[in-house]
Amino acid sequence: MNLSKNTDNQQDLDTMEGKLAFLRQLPLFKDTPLETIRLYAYLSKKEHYYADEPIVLQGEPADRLCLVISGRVAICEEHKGRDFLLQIISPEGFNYFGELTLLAEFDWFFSVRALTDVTMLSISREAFKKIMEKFPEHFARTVSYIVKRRIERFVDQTDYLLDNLKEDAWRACPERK
Amino acid sequence: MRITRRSLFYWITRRQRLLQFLLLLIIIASLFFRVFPLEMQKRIVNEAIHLRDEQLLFLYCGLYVGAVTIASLLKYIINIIQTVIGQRILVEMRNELYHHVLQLPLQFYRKMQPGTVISAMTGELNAIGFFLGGALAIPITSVLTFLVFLGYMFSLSPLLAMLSMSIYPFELIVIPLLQRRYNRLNKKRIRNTRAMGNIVNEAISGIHEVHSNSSYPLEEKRMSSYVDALYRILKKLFIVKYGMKFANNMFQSFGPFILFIVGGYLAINGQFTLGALVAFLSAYEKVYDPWKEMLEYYQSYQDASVRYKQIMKIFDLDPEHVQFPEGREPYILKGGIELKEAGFAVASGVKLLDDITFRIKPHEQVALVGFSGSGKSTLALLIAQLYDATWGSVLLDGKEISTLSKADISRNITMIAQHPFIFTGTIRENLLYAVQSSGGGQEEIPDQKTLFQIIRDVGLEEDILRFGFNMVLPHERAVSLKQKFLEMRQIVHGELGDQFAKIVEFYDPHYFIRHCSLRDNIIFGESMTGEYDTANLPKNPVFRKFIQQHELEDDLLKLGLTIAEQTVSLLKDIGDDEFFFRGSPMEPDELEDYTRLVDKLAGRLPQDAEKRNKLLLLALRFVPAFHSISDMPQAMVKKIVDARHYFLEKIIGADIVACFESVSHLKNNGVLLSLPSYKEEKTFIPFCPTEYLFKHTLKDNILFGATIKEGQEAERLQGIAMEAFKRAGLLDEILDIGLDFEVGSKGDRLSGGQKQKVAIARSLLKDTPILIMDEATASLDNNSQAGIHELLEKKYKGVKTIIAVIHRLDMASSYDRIFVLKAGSIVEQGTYDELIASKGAFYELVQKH
Repeated sequence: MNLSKNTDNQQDLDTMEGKLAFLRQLPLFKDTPLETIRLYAYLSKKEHYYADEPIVLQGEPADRLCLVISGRVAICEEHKGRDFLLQIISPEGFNYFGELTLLAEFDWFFSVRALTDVTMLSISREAFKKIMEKFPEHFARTVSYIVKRRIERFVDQTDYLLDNLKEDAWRACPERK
Repeated sequence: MRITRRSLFYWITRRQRLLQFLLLLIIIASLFFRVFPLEMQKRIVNEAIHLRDEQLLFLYCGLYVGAVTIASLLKYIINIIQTVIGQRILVEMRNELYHHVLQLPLQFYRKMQPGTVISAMTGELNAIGFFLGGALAIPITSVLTFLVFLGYMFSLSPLLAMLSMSIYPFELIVIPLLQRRYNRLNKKRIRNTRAMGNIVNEAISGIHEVHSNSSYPLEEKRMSSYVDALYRILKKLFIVKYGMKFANNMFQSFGPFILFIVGGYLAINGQFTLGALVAFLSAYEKVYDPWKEMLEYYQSYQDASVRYKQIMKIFDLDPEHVQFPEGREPYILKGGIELKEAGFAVASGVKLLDDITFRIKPHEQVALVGFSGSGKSTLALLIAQLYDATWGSVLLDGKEISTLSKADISRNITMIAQHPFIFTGTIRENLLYAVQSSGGGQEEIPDQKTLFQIIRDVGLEEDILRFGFNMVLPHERAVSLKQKFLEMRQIVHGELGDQFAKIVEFYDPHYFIRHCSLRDNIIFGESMTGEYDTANLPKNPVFRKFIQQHELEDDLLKLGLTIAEQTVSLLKDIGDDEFFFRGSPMEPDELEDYTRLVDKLAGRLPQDAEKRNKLLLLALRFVPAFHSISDMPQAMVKKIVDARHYFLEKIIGADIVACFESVSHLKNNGVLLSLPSYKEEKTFIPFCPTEYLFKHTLKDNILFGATIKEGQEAERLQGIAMEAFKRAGLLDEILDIGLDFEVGSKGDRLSGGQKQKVAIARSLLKDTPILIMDEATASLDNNSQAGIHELLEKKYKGVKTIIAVIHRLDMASSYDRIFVLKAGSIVEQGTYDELIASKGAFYELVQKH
């Protein structure tokens, strides 16, 4: 469930080589040829946010996958006027968000805010799309991988909700006939 | 006489008469100098040579040369005058024809392809111009010359003269026969060329459609049938043309044959002198010139008259209305409109409108609604005199509309179309287009205040400000407004400094600017002469010496090599997709060249000057923050800043101390120090806070730094900064500058909404008592639409008569009355509430929405 095996946060993401080194050890790119990963490294962007700074805003067009390298961010959804915390993202555990942006156009359905100073590496949908156009043979595998990561997150979030379910919200599953 | 009914000679005999007369005189004078050398030839042979008199030989030769020179000079002058006459007549013809063409009714243009009109007004007319100049002079000259030479020949030998003339009648039969065939082909050629013009015109106009359907083969096929046909026509045309040439040459060659046989016989028998034979031969050759000219004239006359008739035929139609009223000023109407049993049918007889009767009081606001195809727009066009009612009457303030001139209508009615036309030029020119031509010629250009008010009214202000910010000002204008822009810079750096520092890396001579190219970092200024522009730097000897002195050259070359190697290795198989090149200073179209370079260098720095320049160029373009293809060698950073100071101080001679001071003052106190003003124009302007950068956009000048994230800076400038500028009274200047934004061909650089707003503002500026809107707000977003309707309600209620074809029925309630059309008739009218209450056609329409 961790996109990154390496939890060494002091990577040099200012250089292309640094980015490449970081991306290479991601499970996502396990079977991807080095040349293609170099393209990702070349097109990815380092982003830095100060504590409390908003990173993405609910309702704005979602445009990139973000990998948190250091620091912690909160993912919250505004629902009926209230802000719900969905997940905390840190280099340990779930360290990414926005994976679906690579596959489809939509508006962010949550907001992300930096809890501490945060460094991230982002890959835009545009870059992903362009690379996939050049290497269509990787597309199916990559989509499958992204969907799996999405399911993991979904399971994680659902588990949390079920764990914290109030008794009166619990509905019994229909019994087998 | 209607212009299209005039004959070609109407123009020739009525225009440029004085010049044509002068031409004739010169031609007659030149005749003498053309015959005179013949006489000299005879005398040289018969007298000078025969008598072995050298004195005489020199005299005759001298006279001969003199006459020939004068004859050539006169020919030269004749050619010039002839062209001038032709072109002058052409100017008049073109202007008068264009005047006529513009006034032709709209229906004419529904059927007429633009390509036909364009080709007729340009190329086809040009060809006539060449003929026009000599139309009178050439035949007169030719006939006269012909007669003079012929007379001379008769004077030498009547027998020989008669014999040599015997061939000409044959030509008079053959050539016209061929010519007639030529004319038929020529007509075909013109028709075909026009059709081809139309195909190209249509493909270009609909290029979006062509691209999106990739219907290239279809378009090519359409074109190729015409291209093939044209080839076939031209082939035949040239066969006939050269046939005529062949006949000419043949006849011409028969002449000397007869002359030698008969003349030679006579000379042998002593009945004819040798000199006379020589002169006769020359004269025979000369007499053929005017004959040939006459034949050519005949051909070009035929050609021109075919073209001329073809042109005039398409425009042979009267304008429906006169341009200006006779004997009075254009009316100024109150705005009452009345239709009595009016109807409109197209040529095929289909009725688009029938039995329309209503009366609209001055200042009343009426909405026309109905299903599509119900005739709403046609009705609007009838009231605007753009269509004429086929029966019944349309009255404006009780005056029959068909009797009103175009100037009357223009002075009183403005129409805004659903898809308005935007002209090539600036926004200002487009806005003033209608008001400048509202009829009569005494139009007043609205003052700036009125102009700005209308711009704000229609919601164009923000768009125009954005254009203004993104413009590079013409030098004089920048000079005169410089102080105001520096004030804005002060606001952005001082008052709003904290907010802008996050999105703009401010220029500071003490620091390396990561979001600027290395060129900007080193040179740190703009060069008015271009000698320090990036592309010119590698070849600039001063710059090269300077980077060598500061030990930067090798660093830059190494960086350039790294960039080239990295880009080539990463992108050589990717193709030329611009997207992948955003992280590199290399352009997609340079990849091939650099690939070869990298292969050749194999990792070593080149010695060859050209190769070094290429690497240097990449390094100078490199922007560390954007170009992820390579890292910025940290060791270079300090070197660059040091070198920069040296460059500015020693090479440019800038007042670097003052520059430093102004930076720290702006940083610490938020205020710009005023610097001593320089008298002379500077050729280099350093990035110092008190300097205006003439080659940069206004936005760049105000932000005075490198943008960190594209787009954010513009947003913030339009947001918070705008407020501050407004408070300081600085906005009007930018609005005024933005008005000079070039909108591109047909307004292509504007969005659909912007075009519509420009059209609405253009119409409102004209301020006529009657305003007709044909779904004029349909392409605007909801907010802007509501804004315009609010404007009509608040500003123009009780002021203008408004007839609006509307699509959105929720807008209908603000109108005084609503006419509901169905199948060409008005089926209901009344106020919104009345119509809803009556539950008729309007109610039905509202329900459907």
